[in-house]
Amino acid sequence: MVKKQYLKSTGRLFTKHIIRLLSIAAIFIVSIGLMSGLGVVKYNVKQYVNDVYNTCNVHDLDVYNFDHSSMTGKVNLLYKALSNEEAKQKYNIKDISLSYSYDCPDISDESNRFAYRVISGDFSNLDNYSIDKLVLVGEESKLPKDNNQVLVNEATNEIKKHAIGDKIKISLYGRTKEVEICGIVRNPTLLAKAKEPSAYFLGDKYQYLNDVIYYNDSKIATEHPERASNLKITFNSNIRNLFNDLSDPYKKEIAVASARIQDFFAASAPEVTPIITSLEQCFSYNSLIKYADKVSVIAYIFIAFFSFITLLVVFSTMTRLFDEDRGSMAVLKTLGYSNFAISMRYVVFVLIAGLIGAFGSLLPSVIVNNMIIKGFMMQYNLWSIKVPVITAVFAFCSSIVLLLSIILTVISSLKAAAKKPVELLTPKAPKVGKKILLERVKKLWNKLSFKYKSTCRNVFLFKGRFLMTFFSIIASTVIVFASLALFDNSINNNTVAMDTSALKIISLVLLGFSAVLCALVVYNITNINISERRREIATLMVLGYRNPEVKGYIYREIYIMSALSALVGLPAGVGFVYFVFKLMDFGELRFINWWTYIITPIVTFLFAILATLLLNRKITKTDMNDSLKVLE
Amino acid sequence: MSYLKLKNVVKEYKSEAGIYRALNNVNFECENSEFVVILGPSGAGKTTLLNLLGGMDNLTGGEIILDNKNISQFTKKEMTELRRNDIGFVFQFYNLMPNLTALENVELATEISPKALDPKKILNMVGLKNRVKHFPAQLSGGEQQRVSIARAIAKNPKLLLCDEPTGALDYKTGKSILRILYDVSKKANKLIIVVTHNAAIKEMADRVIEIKNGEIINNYKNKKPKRIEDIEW
Repeated sequence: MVKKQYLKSTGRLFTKHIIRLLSIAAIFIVSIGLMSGLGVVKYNVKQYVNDVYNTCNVHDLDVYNFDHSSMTGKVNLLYKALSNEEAKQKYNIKDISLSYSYDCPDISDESNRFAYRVISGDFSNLDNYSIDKLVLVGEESKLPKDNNQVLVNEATNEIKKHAIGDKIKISLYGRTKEVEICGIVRNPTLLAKAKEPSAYFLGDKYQYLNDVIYYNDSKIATEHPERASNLKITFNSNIRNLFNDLSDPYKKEIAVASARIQDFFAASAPEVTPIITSLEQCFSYNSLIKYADKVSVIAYIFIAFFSFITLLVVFSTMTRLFDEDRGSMAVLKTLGYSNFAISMRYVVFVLIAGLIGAFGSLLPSVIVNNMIIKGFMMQYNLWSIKVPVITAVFAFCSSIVLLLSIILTVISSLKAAAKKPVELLTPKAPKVGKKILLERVKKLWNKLSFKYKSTCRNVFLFKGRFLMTFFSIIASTVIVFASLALFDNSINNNTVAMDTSALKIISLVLLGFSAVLCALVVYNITNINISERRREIATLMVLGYRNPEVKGYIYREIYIMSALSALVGLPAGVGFVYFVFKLMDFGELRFINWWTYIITPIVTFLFAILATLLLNRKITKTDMNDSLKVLE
Repeated sequence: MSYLKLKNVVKEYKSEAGIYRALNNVNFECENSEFVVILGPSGAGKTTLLNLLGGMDNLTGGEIILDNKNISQFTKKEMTELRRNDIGFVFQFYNLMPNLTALENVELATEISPKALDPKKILNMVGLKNRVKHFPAQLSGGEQQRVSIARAIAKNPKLLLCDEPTGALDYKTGKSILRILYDVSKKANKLIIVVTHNAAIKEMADRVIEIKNGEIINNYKNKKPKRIEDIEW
């Protein structure tokens, strides 16, 4: 059914506009890459949390006595009450276990901000721990043989940096003892490296844990039952199966179960004041999930912007492509090809650009994803977190963007192809020059040199194009500003539980991608401008305009437009950031440095210029004979 | 004393199909203030000749001397300066900037020309006194071509090249354009070369050069050039 000449003309469409195809593909690569790299972070973290919950049998409830810092927990009384089959069945409990831990201030640290935790128990065999399973890490790690050897927690140790074989002094229920570190363990409930809150918080002192020591004392349960500090409970699988990253059904069940157990304790062990906490109150999970949620909000916002810019550029590029291709369209029509067949060529054009873009975006998306996860890993011990290459988010983002691009192309190409052949054959009526508003301000207008008069007129003559460029650059400026503001925020903010270096990384990644997108957009627009104005450029060259002058004639418009859009984008960016920061409890805007306001338009403008410079050759390569040829 | 001299001019184009000789030993001379018509059918080498005379391309062999200056082997930069200062070009399709008024279109050329004439005066000369503030889309074909001529003349060039100046115009308008061009060559003392395939125009020329297959087949002076008004085609 598909005829040879049709295929030939379609092939020529591709080769003639190969740069355009590739620049659309590049825009897809940048947008989809960033969108899926950012958007999948939440799922990486969610997957990880679920994995750990299941494989390490993380507790559902953690019960401790009100005075958590003291060394007499009384929690053993609660354990006794609950450790019979009848009670377990009644309260849907699968397993319970006791933990013996207390926090003491780290006086060796001058800032007085840190405490360390000592957890006692039989650590010669980790199988003893069915709830919150510990895993020995590293080839040199060994389990302790006696009570002179200790294990340390991996997360906090990333900062503390004990080595195996180090000897340290710990406070052990009132007395000091020197012990040797024989191994490192992973604890699924102590994931935070630096911000795990200590139970010994005293006013503004001893706020965080900087170390967790596992002291090997196999007899503590029998000799000092009163030292039990935490009672851990896991429920049966009908509740556990609901976990799914702290989903609402799970939280609901836990709340109900927790209330029932609270009542039970009040009845059977009234002398204890138990605090029942779930994973919602577990700092590691709580902050990790919240952090991931915040990153995903940032992600959604950037996805919206990038999609908007991408679709805008694709739409405008294809529309101008139809204009240039009027001749071929007319020929095919007169030969009897249907509108559908004609428009199909352009749909395939966009489809191929999209497919190249989608596959090309896998690499940047993996890079972005990796960088952000690395940022997370600076603060959390995420040992088994997976960063898959092809993700559901990638599939979703790329299909939506491609689908919308194709739909736009189908609609506009059918509209173009539906024109009568005679309309398509006659060259598009050149736009009537018009006096612009600015000209009425005679004083200002007369002061402008001739070059600028012509530029101003050109800018306002093609309102549609102007607006498209305008909005694309404004959107780029907004996201550039947002990235820089995020960067500032990471340095200045103390209130949010987000790591400085992690936020810095995220903001620099966003900045990079925003700037590159801006450059690609300007490149694409300028490329099309130059193609369309071949005749003008050739005429100028014949008139004797030197290369810099010819370039200036074309570029002046872009520069003025970019500068204008960048400046307008600045207040837009400020408003946008204000809105987002409020949404995410990031704090006040006054922390944004004054030079961010200056850097933003400069960055946008510079990248726009960079893009135009890449097109220098295209201008100077113009054949002067183009000005002599027949009007197509 | 010849103002423009072509000596054994050869132009070859290299392509995958081999070497194509577009101009083969072209020789002719023109004097200042002459109205010259170069005549030839499609593919005769007119465009090639225009390119060489207009400083848009280099020769493969031979010499072109304009006002005692050898312009044969200029660098790209030198050619740009040549076009800037010494050549005026009138296009078949006018090639005006759509967003500039008639006056501004002429200023486009005079701004960069060191010895330019007054744009308003020249527009007056071609009869567009009342149309200077109009945009090309508001002008008729003939008026647009007159702007194009004004633009070329205002540069005060040594040589005015016209590529099928009446090709896009109707019969009557075409004639009036040729009248203007002829008058300019006499009043402003300019060497004007009109390249065309319309043989009827040759009767109004001071000199006729006929080209075919890249070679000059005829080159003569008209003793009594006819007035354009008296020529019919």
